[in-house]
Amino acid sequence: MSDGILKISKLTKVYSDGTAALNGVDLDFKKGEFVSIIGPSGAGKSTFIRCINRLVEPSGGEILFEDKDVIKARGQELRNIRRQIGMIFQGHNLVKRSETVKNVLHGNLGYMGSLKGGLGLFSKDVIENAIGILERVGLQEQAFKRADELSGGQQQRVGIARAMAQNPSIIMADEPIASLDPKSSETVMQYLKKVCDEDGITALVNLHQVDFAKAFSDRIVGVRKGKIVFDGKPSDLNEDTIHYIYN
Amino acid sequence: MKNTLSLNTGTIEGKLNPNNEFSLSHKLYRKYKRNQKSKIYHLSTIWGFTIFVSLWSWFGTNFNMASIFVSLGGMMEFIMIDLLPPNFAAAPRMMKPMLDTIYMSIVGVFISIFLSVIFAILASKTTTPNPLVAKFFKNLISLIRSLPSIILGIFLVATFGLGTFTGALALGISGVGMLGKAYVESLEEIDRGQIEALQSVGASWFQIIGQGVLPQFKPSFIAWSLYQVDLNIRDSAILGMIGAGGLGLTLMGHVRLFQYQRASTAIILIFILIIVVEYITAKIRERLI
Repeated sequence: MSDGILKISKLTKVYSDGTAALNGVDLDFKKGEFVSIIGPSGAGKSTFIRCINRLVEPSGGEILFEDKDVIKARGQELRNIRRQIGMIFQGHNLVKRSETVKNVLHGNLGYMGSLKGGLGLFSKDVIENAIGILERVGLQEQAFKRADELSGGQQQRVGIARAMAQNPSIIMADEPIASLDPKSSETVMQYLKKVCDEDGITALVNLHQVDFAKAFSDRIVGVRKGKIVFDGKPSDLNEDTIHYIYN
Repeated sequence: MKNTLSLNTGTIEGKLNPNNEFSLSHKLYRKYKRNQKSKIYHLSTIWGFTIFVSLWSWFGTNFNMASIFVSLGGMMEFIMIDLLPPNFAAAPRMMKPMLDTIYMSIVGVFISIFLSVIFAILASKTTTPNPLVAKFFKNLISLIRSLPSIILGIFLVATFGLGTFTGALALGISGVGMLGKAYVESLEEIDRGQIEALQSVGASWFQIIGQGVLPQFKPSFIAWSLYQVDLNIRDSAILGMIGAGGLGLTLMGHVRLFQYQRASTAIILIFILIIVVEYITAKIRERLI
């Protein structure tokens, strides 16, 4: 448990329409590892990731993040956990009408007072930090453009920057490259890998492109019908297993 | 007619291909025909009902085409002899009431905006802290909307007396009916993903409203608020008639004294004011959005 960071046991999720998205998932994640979660659409990848920061309420099981019980956390306690878990979305989910740098500053909201944060009164070092992060993802020149003026790939890099601004222990990405062209996908994955390696951040990335998962991860988890059916090194993932996961 | 046609085509196809009856495409074809038939049934019900209600109301109001043409003469006489020409000598003394109308509308809009923003944030599904609170404020907004501003005005004049303050208050409160509903709808249309993202960084409710909701809400907020200014100018003319001050009050005063040529000046001024204000708000809207 020395370098364990996230421990998930018997996690289940049944949606109100009766769909069982997760059927008892047990997974441990170590500090600094880059994990890809692969599986067909509807396998429960997205539900799994969203349960970890409680954007989706789990139906049962236990999630321990740095030994804190995520499922029992309420209010401020939950927000304190969430601020340490960065999240990147398929649709970028940037506040489109706000400037790029503002979107990165949003990563800091969890550390600010409610009123100051709501009014957008960010302090000097927070702003400097945000600009620094934009430089790391190669977007310093776009800092004062509105987020919706950027290309899809650039917007996703802003998504990475926003997650970085949370100073997170984990970054979760839900299909980060599903709506991007191959070239931008490559760039986005490279930046994600780079910042996570540099800062020792654990990455949990939902992907459905197996080749990307093989190229970038330290570990691959295969999900099928809400169950873990593969967990191992990319080199251990053979054609048969892939076929089983996707069929 | 339709029925026999579909039957015919059915038998022709049947003759060409005897097994056709059980094929998937034949089943789908029958389903298509059934849907078509129920569509016609629905349409005829709706039209039948509409025509019935229209005819009923027609007789209910004693609507009489002939009387329109007969009375048209009387109306022309009133316009040509009583109203015209407008007495523009009265115009300078109407400048103050005109300003009152403008003040009333603007103060009214500020009251409406203030109340509507609070009510709408509490009422809309996307921003409410609690579904029960949402229901309460949604109903409150509907209640206000169902109360015509002129009836509200009568109550307020009885409470606060005559004057522009009462007018502004009446406009302000009744405006919540329209503006509140418009705000709620705009808030419910915003992109949930952006809110989800701010939840994921650990933002509080107030932070999500300030940083995630308001930037998305801004364009429709501006558009609807300016539209409310237009509506208020119009409404304030009506409210003036029950003693809430402004040009409407002046207009009503002249009508009561049978000073129709002065009254027509007031009507023209109201007309000009509405057009000018609409022009200005349209320009502001263009600039801001």
